[in-house]
Amino acid sequence: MSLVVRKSFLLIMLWVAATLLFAVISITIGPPQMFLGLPWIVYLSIITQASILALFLVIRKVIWKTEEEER
Amino acid sequence: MNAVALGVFVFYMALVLLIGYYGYRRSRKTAEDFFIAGRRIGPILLFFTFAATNFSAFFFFGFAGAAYKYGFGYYGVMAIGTSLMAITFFLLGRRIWRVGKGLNLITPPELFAKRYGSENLRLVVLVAFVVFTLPYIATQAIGGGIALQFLTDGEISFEIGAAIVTLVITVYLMLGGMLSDVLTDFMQGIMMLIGGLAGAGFVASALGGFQQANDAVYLLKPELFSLPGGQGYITIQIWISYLILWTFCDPMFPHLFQRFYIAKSERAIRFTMVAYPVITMILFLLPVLIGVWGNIDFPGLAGKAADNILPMMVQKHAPEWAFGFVMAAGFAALMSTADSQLLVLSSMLTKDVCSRIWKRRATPEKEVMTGRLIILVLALVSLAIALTSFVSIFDMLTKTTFTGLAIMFPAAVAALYWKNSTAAGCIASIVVGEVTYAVIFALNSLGALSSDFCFGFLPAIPLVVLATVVLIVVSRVTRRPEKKIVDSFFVHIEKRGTG
Repeated sequence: MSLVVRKSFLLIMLWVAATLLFAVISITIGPPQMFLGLPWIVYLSIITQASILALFLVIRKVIWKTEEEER
Repeated sequence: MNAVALGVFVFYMALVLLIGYYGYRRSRKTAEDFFIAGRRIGPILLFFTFAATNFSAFFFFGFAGAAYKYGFGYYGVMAIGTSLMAITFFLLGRRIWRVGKGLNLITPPELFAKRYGSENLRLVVLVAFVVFTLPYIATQAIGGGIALQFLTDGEISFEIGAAIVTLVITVYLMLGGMLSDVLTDFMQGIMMLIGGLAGAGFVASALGGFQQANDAVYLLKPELFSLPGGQGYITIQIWISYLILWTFCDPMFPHLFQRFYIAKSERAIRFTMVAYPVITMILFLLPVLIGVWGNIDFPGLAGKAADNILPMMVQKHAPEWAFGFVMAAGFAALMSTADSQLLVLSSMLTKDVCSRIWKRRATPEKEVMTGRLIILVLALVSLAIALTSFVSIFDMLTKTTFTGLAIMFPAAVAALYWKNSTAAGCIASIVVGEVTYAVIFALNSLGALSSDFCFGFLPAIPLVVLATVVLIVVSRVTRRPEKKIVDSFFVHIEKRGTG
């Protein structure tokens, strides 16, 4: 596996681990009703999904770009 | 009978056939064109076909039913889990697309066969894909029959309903293959989005708005707003299990796997990868909301009865035309999945079986004609399954599909990433994993295993670990494929810098 693949893979695994940890910790402490009467778990899900986009942005803009510049 | 709603349904079916015919006019008479649309699907169509294909009848009816019973926690389970598929797009999708294009692959088993130069592995993968996909087509036909019966207040029987839905799918698929499939998926995806928004909007409005509807349910059933949810179902173990399960099994659905081949460019795959979490974030919340709110109007539904909560709520609170549209969106969900499943099975049986037997006698015209005939035969078989007592057997297979496909995930990752993996390792991984799962399933059905024998996790998690260990151990002790076979595969992946 090339270095760029390893870096991307490592970042994704870190993100997955952090997401699972965050989800497990936060589901028990969030309020049952928030904005529009929806529970915390709905907003947690939305935050998690939005963070996937941020993850891809980091991989593309940081790891891939750095690799291309080094080449 | 609700004449307006039925009119909307008939209009939808006519539109689908028309789009299917348009796909036929635009397609050429080659296997590559018929089965994978000539690899010319751009970002927008690719995104919609992935979404529409993955969201089945279960998305429209099953989600609401589960949310009715388990509450908002179900949104977390399904939405986060399915959006994790974006990661598998990243890890697997781009590589599958590259080798697909480089080696002119059409079916998923072809990738494994070319990677290792192994016909035995091709056969094992083919059998596993067929076993876990065929029952699913039957469940879509069953869903269509039930939905049409509901829409017409029983004036169209379940059997006739299932036959109509299967017939329409078969016609447009036989006409234009993948291009018709993708174009109808685009329309069906938009319908699902509008249908979901309209359904949730009308129901929320009738219940006094989002805040009031949620407050009313919270007074009745506060457990639906936190975990472990109704019936204590969504434990931490179950939640984590599903998050991992969706990530592993979704890309292994052969009809989704094959969609990586159809992309026009890598940019199309990247766009789909980024857009997928966004659409699941919105789309999955809609049936969940309606399902949870169903506790206000229809309390006390149990078992399968809860699966009808979405049409029941929309019928009660929305105008007739909106009810018709939402039901048509439900048909769109199940048809967009069934057509893709029929097509991928047809492509595998044509390319991986018939063409292998014919060898040089396999002309493009012959392959397309065979593909069309196989679509017809598979549609009739799935309809027969849906209408007969075999349903219980296939229901069991359907229940095992997700885990069964997740077990194949390590073999796919090894094929695409690990040059030292071997065909024997992949075969052993798949066979040992599936056989172990069959034993666990049988013991579980007989009550010989305690319900928490996996410490509260789904069996898929230890089984994927087992499949991975077997793959590594057997690959270490068996002979690697020839270097030129490995190189001819990885050259298509590695010629680009971004892995």
